[in-house]
Amino acid sequence: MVGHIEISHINKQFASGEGAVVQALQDVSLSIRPGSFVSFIGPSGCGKSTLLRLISGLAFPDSGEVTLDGEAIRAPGADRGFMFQEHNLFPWLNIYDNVAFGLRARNIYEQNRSRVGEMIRLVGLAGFEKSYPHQLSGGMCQRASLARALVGRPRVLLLDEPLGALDNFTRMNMQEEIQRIWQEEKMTMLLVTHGVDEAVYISDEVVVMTARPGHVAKVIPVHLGRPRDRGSKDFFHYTSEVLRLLHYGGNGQEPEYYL
Amino acid sequence: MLFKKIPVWANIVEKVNREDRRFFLPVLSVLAAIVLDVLLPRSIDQKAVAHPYFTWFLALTLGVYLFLYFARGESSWREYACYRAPFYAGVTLLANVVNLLTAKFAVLPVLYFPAPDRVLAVLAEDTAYLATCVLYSCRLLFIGWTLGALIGICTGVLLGFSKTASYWITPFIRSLGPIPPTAWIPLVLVVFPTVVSGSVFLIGLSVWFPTAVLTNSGIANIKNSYFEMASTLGAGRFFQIFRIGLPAALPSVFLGLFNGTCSSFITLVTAEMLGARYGLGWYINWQKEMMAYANVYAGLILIAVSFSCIITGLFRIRNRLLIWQKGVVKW
Repeated sequence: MVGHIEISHINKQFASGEGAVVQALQDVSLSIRPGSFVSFIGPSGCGKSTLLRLISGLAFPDSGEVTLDGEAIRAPGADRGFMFQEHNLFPWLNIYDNVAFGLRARNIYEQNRSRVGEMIRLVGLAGFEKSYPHQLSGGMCQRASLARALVGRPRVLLLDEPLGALDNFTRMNMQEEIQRIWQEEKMTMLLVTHGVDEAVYISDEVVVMTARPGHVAKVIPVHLGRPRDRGSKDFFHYTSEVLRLLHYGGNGQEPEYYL
Repeated sequence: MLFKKIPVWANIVEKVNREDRRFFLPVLSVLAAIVLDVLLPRSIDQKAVAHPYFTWFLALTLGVYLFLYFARGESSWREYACYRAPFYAGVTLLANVVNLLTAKFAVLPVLYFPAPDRVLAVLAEDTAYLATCVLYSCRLLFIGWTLGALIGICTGVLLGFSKTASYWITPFIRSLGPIPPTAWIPLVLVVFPTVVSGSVFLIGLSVWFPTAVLTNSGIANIKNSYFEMASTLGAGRFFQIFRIGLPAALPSVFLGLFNGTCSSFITLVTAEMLGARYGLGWYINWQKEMMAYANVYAGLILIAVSFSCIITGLFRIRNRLLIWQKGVVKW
């Protein structure tokens, strides 16, 4: 199986005006199993989005290396699909042409014509092929964006808070869909999120990160069967562990007062 | 009503929707103008014309109006005629007043303000010659505009995507661009072998500058995430330039083209005055020197008609290409 990512001793700094330097990532090392679903969670500024951009090849580490199936990443490529927080659909193309964009860009559209309709059906947008992005709701646009990222059969799908801007119910539906697609398409998926619930619900492993400097606090494997139950005790055990690591879980002291 | 006693009118009144009293405004206005034109004597200062062109013209417009109104029952044509009825009535009234001031009472200096029928006479009797002028102007405009627009878009794209090109070309655009194209005339007369090639250059220049600047600024304003998105989908540099850069910058490109088109009209008319064999600008200049102001007005009318046709055409093309903007921006 392909989609094996090795991150070894990554450092990344950003200049933040006036000569100040922000250490976005400090000595981050991770190994991501092929075909697994891994979530990155942490406060803003912990470098989780930066990590995703390094894997996609949109940015480069100051030191250290990222490899995909043994090959160092030097540029963005179609083997790593990317989904942003904003859907970033091209407003001048309709849904069909948006989804077909990657195939056309790589000049493999003719051979894979049927794949476009297949992906549009997979994300539940059949019948909206001729619509323009502004005619669809935010959730539908994210679905189209997902189809566009999937159409070229990437080995890895990088999801940078794609569900952050959606309302709660749409988000939960989309989590189901992403999980289903992950199971059907059998690819490695990396999700950056602010939602503890979301991370535990969907992932094989949750990578908890802390900020300034950004580094990995702990990798928590989630040993729960699927589909998962948001209300179960085991589920709660994982979410509270994540929250504790992020210092939002209280520190176990006695309550000051009872109601 | 008196109208209803006359059979033809009764018929029309019946056909006109009760709410559409507007329908009668232009009819009354045209009839008033025709009656005054026929009944009042022509001022002796205004040269006579072979036929009553003004009356004919008014009758023609009324015919078109009635045709639009009645031709296809309840249709969009009829709606259009209704919508435009007050405007048409007002313009006819204006023409009527102009006719009275010039042809009938010669209140305005006759030399510079010929009667409307004299202008119409030029259009009707000099048709072939004027058509030649229009064709020559359009040819010049077409060649110059196309070259200017193409080179302008290429320059804008180059500036937008190549740092080296931007480094070398931007200072030239900043310093040479704002010079009005017509200010180059003294140089153009010396450098170019023919007046036509010089005129093409000037027209091209006037389209090139705004097109290049606005194409460039359109590209500069594209969200970076579109390019990032495209590169994660495997798009190479050229694909990104032509499938992201150009379409995303297109609204701005059209702004540049509109600016360029308007300034190319100015340049065209001025360039033709340099000396050409035919052309509207040249025609107006020539007739002015002959003190033939009726011909000058005829030329102006033709310029107005042909230039506004070009602008309308350009708008149509824009609306077709930018249909995706409908609903995104105030259309």
